[in-house]
Amino acid sequence: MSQSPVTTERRPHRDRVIPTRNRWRSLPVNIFLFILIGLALFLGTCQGVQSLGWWSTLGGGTGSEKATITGTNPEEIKGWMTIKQVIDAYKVTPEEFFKQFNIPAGTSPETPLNQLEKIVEGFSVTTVRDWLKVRAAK
Amino acid sequence: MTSSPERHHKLKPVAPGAGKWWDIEHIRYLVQTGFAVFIAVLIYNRAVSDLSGPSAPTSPEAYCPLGGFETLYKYVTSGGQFISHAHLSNLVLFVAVLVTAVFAKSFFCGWICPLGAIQQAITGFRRWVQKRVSALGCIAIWLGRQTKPAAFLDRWFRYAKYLVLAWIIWGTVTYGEMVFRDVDPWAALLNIVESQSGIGFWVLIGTLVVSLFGDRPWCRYLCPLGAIIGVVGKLSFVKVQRESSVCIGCKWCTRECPMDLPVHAKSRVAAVECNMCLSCVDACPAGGALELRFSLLGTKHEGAQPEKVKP
Repeated sequence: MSQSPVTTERRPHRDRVIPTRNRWRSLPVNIFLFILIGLALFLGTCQGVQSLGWWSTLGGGTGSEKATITGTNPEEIKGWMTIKQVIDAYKVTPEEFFKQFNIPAGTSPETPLNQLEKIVEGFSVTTVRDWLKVRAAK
Repeated sequence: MTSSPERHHKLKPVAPGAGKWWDIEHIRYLVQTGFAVFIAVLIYNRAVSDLSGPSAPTSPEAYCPLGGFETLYKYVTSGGQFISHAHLSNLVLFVAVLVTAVFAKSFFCGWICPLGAIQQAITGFRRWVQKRVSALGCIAIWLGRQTKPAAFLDRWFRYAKYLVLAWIIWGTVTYGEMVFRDVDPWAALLNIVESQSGIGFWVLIGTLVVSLFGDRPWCRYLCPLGAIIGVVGKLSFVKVQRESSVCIGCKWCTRECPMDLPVHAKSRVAAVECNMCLSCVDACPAGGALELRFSLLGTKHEGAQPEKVKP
């Protein structure tokens, strides 16, 4: 028995719409235009802001300034910086730093801070920044 | 030609352009795949590179809009500083998501978010298997019937995402840290190469497994970004609108909705959960019954009540 053609029948009812209050007070939006506008708003906002130089995927700042460690502002510390870079810049002895954050002895001073987060329980770049701020205030 | 309701229920949804490459569903898959591939490339680059030194490749986390929300409080109160793991790009993306939401509601969730796309792909795979293995289809129907008494829980669990959002706000304000990062399945996926044992990883696995049984569980119940977008999206003038005078009551729209919204009973789909995937519009067999419309000021929202047709 052949399948009834009704199963794939398209019913053009658009011309039969009885206007309601909502319909009178709204305008149809083309779906393809809606998709284009949605994508354009999202990508356009990102692109527009980038063209203004207000974009960085490398931590704080606008990306125009290079991240360096000066030893004056703990907020400059980034996850990719090593223990050695931090303790050298902030005049901290390795023993003090290791003891403060319970870092296992034998950990290389060349270990980046973001790697330490996975090794040491409770360790984060934020805790290092906070500790250095308190230490500097003493 | 008869037009009885029984007859209409047998109608197969055929939308304009259905089955062709410009079909809404296909375009959506294409867009979602594009964004997912972009993120996958970032994850791959990160996996094969040396992470020490300032020249390390960009962390995929720099492209998470929720990170922008989490750092917003510190950024405003400290004059431009970021919490750990947040970047300026996170903030920009968060603003872009909000700008998009003001016009297009949850367009980001339905068309861009890769985590949503992954859940959707898993659900699609389940349907594909069910169609081919009839036993699995029968089991799914049986399970659906057995769990029907608990369906009311779905409505209440949808509020959980606001609790998650409140927790994030409280945590970032109190501790100045990404408290949600450890349990965030999206963060776990972005860091999948570096860490596979955290709570977030298991939440991710759980989300993917549950996606086999229901559409977009993370988006529906727990996504804090979805909660923000849903609330901001209330400002949008663009909504899916149903014309009861031409609606044939086939309920294909409700069946196709990944968020299980009762589209067939609404005059306007204004729910915060609507992710603007347009599956309902795509599935509607009655031309003009479901349309995307830009509401002018003064449009009355009639909720779940059927519209009064004016002659």
